[in-house]
Parts: sequence; structure tokens; C-alpha cells
Amino acid sequence: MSFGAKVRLTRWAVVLAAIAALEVMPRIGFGDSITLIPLSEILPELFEMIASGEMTEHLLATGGAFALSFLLAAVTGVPLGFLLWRYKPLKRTLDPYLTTYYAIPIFAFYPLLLAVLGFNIWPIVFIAWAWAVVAVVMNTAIGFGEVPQVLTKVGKSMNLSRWQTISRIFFPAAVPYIFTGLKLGMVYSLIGVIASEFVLSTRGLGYLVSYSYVNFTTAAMYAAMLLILALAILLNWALGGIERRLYGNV
Amino acid sequence: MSDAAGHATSPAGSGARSARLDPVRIAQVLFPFGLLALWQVLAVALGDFFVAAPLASFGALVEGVRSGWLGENGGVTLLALVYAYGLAVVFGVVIGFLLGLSRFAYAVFEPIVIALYALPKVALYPLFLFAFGLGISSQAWFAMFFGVFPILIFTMSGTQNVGEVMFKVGRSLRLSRFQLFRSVVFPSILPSMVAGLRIGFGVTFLGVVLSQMFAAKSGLGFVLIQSVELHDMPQLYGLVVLLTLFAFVINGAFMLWERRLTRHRPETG
Amino acid sequence: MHIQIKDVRKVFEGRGDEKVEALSGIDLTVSENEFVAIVGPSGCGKSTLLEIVAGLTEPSGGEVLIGRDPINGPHPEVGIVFQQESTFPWRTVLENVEFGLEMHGVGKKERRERSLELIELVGLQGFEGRYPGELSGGMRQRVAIARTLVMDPGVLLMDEPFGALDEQTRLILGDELLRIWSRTEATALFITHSIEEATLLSDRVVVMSARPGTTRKVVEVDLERPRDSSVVSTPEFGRLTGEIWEVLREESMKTLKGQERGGS
Ligand SMILES: Nc1ncnc2c1ncn2[C@@H]1O[C@H](COP(=O)(O)OP(=O)(O)O)[C@@H](O)[C@H]1O
Ligand SMILES: [Mg+2]
Repeated sequence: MSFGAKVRLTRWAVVLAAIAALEVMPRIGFGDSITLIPLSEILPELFEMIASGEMTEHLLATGGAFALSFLLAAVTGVPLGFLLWRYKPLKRTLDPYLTTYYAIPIFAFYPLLLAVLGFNIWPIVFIAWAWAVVAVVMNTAIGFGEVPQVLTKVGKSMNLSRWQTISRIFFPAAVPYIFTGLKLGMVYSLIGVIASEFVLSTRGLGYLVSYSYVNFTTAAMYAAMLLILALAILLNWALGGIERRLYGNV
Repeated sequence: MSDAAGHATSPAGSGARSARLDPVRIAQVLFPFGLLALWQVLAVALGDFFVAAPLASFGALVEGVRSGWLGENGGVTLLALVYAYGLAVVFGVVIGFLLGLSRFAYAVFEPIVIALYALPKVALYPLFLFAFGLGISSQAWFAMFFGVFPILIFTMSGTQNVGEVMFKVGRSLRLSRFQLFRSVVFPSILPSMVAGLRIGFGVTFLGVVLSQMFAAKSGLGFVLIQSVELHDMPQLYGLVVLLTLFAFVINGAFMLWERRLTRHRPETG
Repeated sequence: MHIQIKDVRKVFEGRGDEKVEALSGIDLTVSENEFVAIVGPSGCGKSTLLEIVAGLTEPSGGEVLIGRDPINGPHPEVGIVFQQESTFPWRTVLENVEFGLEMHGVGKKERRERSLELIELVGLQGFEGRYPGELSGGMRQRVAIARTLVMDPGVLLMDEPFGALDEQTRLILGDELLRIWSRTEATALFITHSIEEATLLSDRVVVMSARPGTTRKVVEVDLERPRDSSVVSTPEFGRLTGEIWEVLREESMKTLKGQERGGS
């Protein structure tokens, strides 16, 4: 068996073992039976909640806030990154602040936003956007900055206009980086949305987890957790697939 | 690492002589003051129902020190942070090192660990409450679960990237296992480990604040939520700024350490 | 101290199912104080052979003797300089050179003295306090050579130490190496992919075959010593390199063909 095949096989074995542990541990009485529920009992609960429409409202709320915040991050982040690359002094000025951005507990701003904007979707969208946008900005700026000089020279030698150079050479060359930024942005805005909903909100999958926790409806809580993790894993997996294809072509 | 999420390590400027007159340097120094001015303008424009003025916010913190709630809750947060970070460092460094030693283990676990890092783990907080009960232990273990991944990932890839040739140098000079670790392997890993420690600290801190916002009775996260309910804007703004500054300072200290380690290495892996 | 390589073979149980036969029966003796260069197509097992002599890789068959000692691990009399960058970026030039002595408990004063002497020998005086990251590739390799030589090895193994450098620099560093080597009186086994470099430096050039590596031909280099890179322009030098190239060309073609067929 080749090294790669052995690696993949072992990786799947590890993942399956972890899933099996989630099933078996509650059954053999690890923890008490109220707080830990085997996977096979969570799944029917989840399907039941989806089928009965109980989940729909929360799914839509989370999906909406996620889509909105990510779109905002993309629409603002890419142009900002481009601007940062075009105006080097601006980039150099902000660099130390951008590199420490993710060190600050961004989420501490959520209560503040709640107090300012009220208990609606906007504090959630705002915090998720703030979490995501800097990753998009930085990767876009890096992507444009990493375009090899020889490509610019190729453009010059062909007498391309400034706009042509940007749209035909810089932009395509920077696409893999921009995509990485967008991918991180997506992951971050999902985390931002779920965290906000969980801590303080009135709807959404994160809210469902905390609501069920507070009300001791443990099965519903696990169902919501499972759905969140499943969606996140699916998202990462899809993005990873696209990225591999994108980088494979470069 | 495909980690370009703003965790890059190279801030601007290195020429010490020209630094004094560099307009970029001046702008960098002025930037925080600009933010402060903007804050003041917004406070005046929008009124104190929405934006507490800088001075009022500062006053709220001073009042917090005087009346004791800041020290008390800040202490709880700090304790949880130290507890959580200690756990994250121990687990992250040890597991990362062990996984990084074997090419096979690295190949198997690297994607798994990165995938775990990217999950919205907040939703799992109730599990920690079940396991550790309400209080500082559940907060610390949860924040550790947040912060351990960057430390683990950076240590793992740092270990994996110690060149084969470094081991060969050590063996050809007939070093003992301990010498090989202390004098060759550890210094090789250190820069990337410190980058992990820095990012891990930020994430752990976030985890602590986040956990104290939910089902807690003390800690700065709890006070934040309480301020929303009481609509105490000066306290809210003051705390947010305090937390931000704290994170900024610690991160800066880590960055200085990192820069010292990589000063002489143009090509750090 | 002489090196005897007796029928050394190596099969890698490699990645995947297939086994890679890297060396098939190498016989070579390097006498005391002799300088032998090995050239061969890339991937023919040169580095493998050197690491077997250094006791870093176990042969699948045959044996290696250093002096009278059979090799089954790193030997104290053997020093090796690697093909890859191997200086420690966190240590200064001086600290790099001192490394081996420090690890073996040599006192601070003595190791400083010996290290400074070697730093001067390799022409790096003035750079003792610099870090490898601040030096050029050629200077870094000289640090690595000094770090090996400071241990005073009776046998010096070098694996394309200047492989990453351009031809001119390589010849000039070759001059340096000849000067250094004449002072150390070590037995030297030197790997290179440059025919010129091999001929300039050595008493004998061993041409290896395409993988699995064997010794295809041994060319005696009877250019008089001390020599320097000015010999490159002599007709005798041209004749020798031509002779080596004739064999090496054939072997390199085999390697290329093998790659084109897809069996890299
Ligand atoms: N650790 C190893 N495992 C499997 N194959 C190896 C290993 N090291 C080297 N090889 C293979 O052995 C052959 C000889 O390698 P090497 O000695 O490095 O060649 P050279 O130095 O002549 O270029 C190559 O085909 C290489 O791929
Ligand atoms: Mg080689």
C-alpha cells in the first residue's frame, strides 16, 4: 500500500473511531444518561426536528445572517485589500494593527453592538462581518503583492493599459489568495454568527443550543449541535475541494 | 502553513536610522489617537445613549477599581485565563511535538486538527458545563479547547519541518538524545512554536471572555452582558477598550519575542 | 586513516510497494590522505553511499571500514558536510563552529581558540559574530565545513558542499578547499556533479553508473600538487574531463531515458 493510501485509511479509521466513541461512551455509562446521549438517538431527534419544521426558523436565521455577513465581508474586503495594496504607505501604516487584529477578543464588541443596535439580526451580522473581513482584506492585499514581477513585465512589454494590467494579469494571478481569504472569511463569519446566537439572541442554531441547554431539553440541544458541526464540516470540506482544484491549476 | 488570516509576522519598517522621520512611523503612532478622536466625535454626534464618551468610559473603569467590581471580576477572568492558557500550552506543545515527530502521524492528523480549529466550537460549551459544572473550571477547559489548536498546529508543523539534515548533523556528531533535543530540535522548533503561543493566547483569551458571557456569575464577560441589560454604556465601552488593550499589549510582547528569535533568519519556516 | 568500502549494497524498502535499489555492490578504497571525488548522474546513490560511510545509513549488504574499525554507527574520526543547508540559524558563526566541541565537553577557552583558528582557515575572520542568515550560501557552507573540521576528523566526507553555487564560485571555493585540505591531512571523499570540480580537487575520480549505483570507471588525476584552478586551462585537464564526461554522458543518458519512460 502506498504512503498516501495508508494515511487516508488511518485518517478515516481515526474519524470513525471518534464517531463510534460518541455512540458507545454514553451507552456504557460514561457520564450520566441525562447529559450524554448516544449518536443514534440524536440523529432521529434531529430528523424529527427538521421534518416537523421546528428547525426551519433557526436554520433560516443562521443561514441568513451567515450569508449576509459573508457577502458584506467579500464585497468590502476585496476592494479594501486592493486599496491597501495600491497605497503602500496606507498598508505599511496599518500592518502592525492588522496583524494584531485577531489577537483582540473581537467578540467582546458583541454586547456593545447589542446595546447600540438592539436585539435584532444586525449586531450578529456586524460582529460576523468584523470577524471575517480582515482575513479577506489581508489575503487580498498579500495576493496582489505576491504577483511575480516578471508577469508585470510581460504586461508592459505588450503595452497593456493600466486597467488591462490589473484585470488581466494581477487579478487572475491573485485569485488563489483571494479565495483563501474568502474561505477564511466564510469560516469566521459562521463562527461569529453561531457564537453571537449562542450567547444572546432570539433565534438561530446557536440560540437553539443555549435555549435547549437552559431548558434541559438535552436531546434538542445535541441535535442542534450536531447540525451546526455537520454544516460547518460540510462547508469546510466543499471549500477545501474548490481550493485544491484552484491551486492545482496554478 | 496556510495561515494567512492576519497572523503574519512581519510588521513594517526595519531601518532604525530613518525611522524617526518616516511618515509611516508617525502615522502608525497617530493611528490610535485618530481612533480616539473618532470615538469622541461619534459620542458627541450620536449622544450617550448610543456611544459613551471616552472620558466617561474611563471614569467608569476608575469607578470600577474604586468600588471593587473591576478588580474582582478582572481577577476571575485573569485566573480563568491563566488556568486555560496553562492547559493549552501543555497540551498543545506536547501533542504537537509528538505528532510532528512522525511523518505518518503528521500526515494523518494535520487535516483533522485544522478542521477542528475551523469549527464553531462555541456551540459545544454546554458539554463543558456538564463535565465541569458552572464556574471557572468549565470556562478554563472550554477556552483551552479554543486556544490549544493554534499552539498544537504550529508546534506540529514546526517539528515536522525540522530538516532531516539537522538530525543527521546531530547524529554524525554523536549527540545524546537529550543533547539532540535541547541543542538542535528545540531551537529549530522555537520560532514557530512561539508564533503558535501568540495566536493561541489570543484565541484562549477570546474563549475565556466568551465563556463568561454565558451562564456565568462573575468575570468580565459576565459584566459585559450585565452592562447590556442595564444599558450602562460607559461601563460597556470602558470594558471593551480595556479588553482590547490588554490583548494588544500581550500580543505585542509575544511579537517582540518572536522578532528576537527570527531576527537573524530571513528564511524562517 | 583510510576508508575501505567492500561490496556495499543498499535497497530502500521505500514508500509504496516497490523497492528502490540504490547501490549494487560498490567497492572502493581510499588510502590515507588521499582525495577521491565521486561523480555520477543524479539519483544514482552518491549521497546514500556517503551516508553509509558516515554511519548514518545502514547498508543492506557489504561493509565499510574506517582504519581497522567496521562501521555500524557514526565514527568519531569521521566528519561529514552535507549537501543541504545545515548550519544552525540560531547560532552565530563562532557558536556554530564551536558546536561539536561544546557538545563533547571541551572547555570554553580551548574550543574558542580552535574555532577561531578554523574560522580563519576557511576565510571567515571578521564574521564570527554574524548569523548564518546574514551570510551568502557559499559562506554558510564554509561555516559547515569549519564546524566539521574543528573536530579534527581523520576522514572528511563532503556531499556536494558547493552544489548550489555557480560554476565560477565553485572553482574558487575549490581552491580554498585544496588549501584547507592540504593543512588538515584528512582522507577526503568528495561528491560533486561537476566534472571540473572533481578533476581540480582529487587524486582519483570515481564515475558511478546510473541507478543502481556501481563504480563505472576510475580516472587517475595525475596533475601535480599543489594545484589551483588555473589548471583548468591546461590540455591535460581537458583530456581528463573529456575522459570522465564520455562515461558520465552515457550514464546520464540512461537516467534521463528512465525518467522519460516515467520510472523516475
Ligand atoms: N530514505 C529513502 N527512502 C527511499 N528511497 C530513497 C531514500 N533515500 C534515497 N532514496 C532513493 O535512492 C536513490 C539514490 O538517492 P541519492 O543517494 O540521494 O542519490 P544522489 O545523491 O546520487 O543524487 C534515489 O532514487 C532516491 O530516490
Ligand atoms: Mg545527493
